[in-house]
Amino acid sequence: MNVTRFAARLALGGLLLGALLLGGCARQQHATAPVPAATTSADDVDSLLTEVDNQLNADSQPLADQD
Amino acid sequence: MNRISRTAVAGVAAIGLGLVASAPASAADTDRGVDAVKHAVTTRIDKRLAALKKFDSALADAKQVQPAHRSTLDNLIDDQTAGLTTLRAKVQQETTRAALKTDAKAMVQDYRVFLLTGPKVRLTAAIDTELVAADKLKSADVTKSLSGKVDALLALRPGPDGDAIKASVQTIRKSAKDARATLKSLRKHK
Repeated sequence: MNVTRFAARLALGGLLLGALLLGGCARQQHATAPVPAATTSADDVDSLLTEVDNQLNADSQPLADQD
Repeated sequence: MNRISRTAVAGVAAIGLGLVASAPASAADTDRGVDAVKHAVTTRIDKRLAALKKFDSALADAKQVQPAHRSTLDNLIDDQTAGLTTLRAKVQQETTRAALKTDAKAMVQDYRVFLLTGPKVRLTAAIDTELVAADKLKSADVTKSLSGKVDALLALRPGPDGDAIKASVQTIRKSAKDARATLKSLRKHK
């Protein structure tokens, strides 16, 4: 009877320990998961070039006063 | 003889009356002149203050401007706004056309809001954005061609020689336009 109880406790303890170890590993993996590198998409460059266009077009507008 | 004397007296009297009548009219003309000049100078100062407000907002919207450049431009806009506001108040107190002429000259030559401050904001935004694009497209040539351009632009000072300022700005403007053409061509071939 005592042996059975001891075995049951051992099994339960093992399960708990296992669960704790698994949780720790998962958290560790999450913390060290690589951050995706910043992508250089064509859209980025296009929007930058549009911004350049806007600034240079504004710069070519006639002045409100000539000096 | 009598008739001649009477005509002469009448003539002198007429001239005298004319002078007396014309004296106050001439003073009024001068006052009106001062008011008109004052109004014209104030309007031109207001145009500059409105432009500075626009530059400030354009600078805030330009996300790629490097922090040091942004700080220089922010200070420039703030200083010019304060200076022109003070000048505007001074103009309201002027009583002579000569003083107003001096104020108008200061308004232009001490600030060069349109000729220099505007291009400083717009070309800095354009060039700093081009530098980011050049980095993304890995164009060392464009980066090199734009190196130091913004610093040179921001180092330009207002002054009496408007043509020299215009020419200096134009050189930097051309670099910005050339860089844009190169970047667009690179983008097309990627």
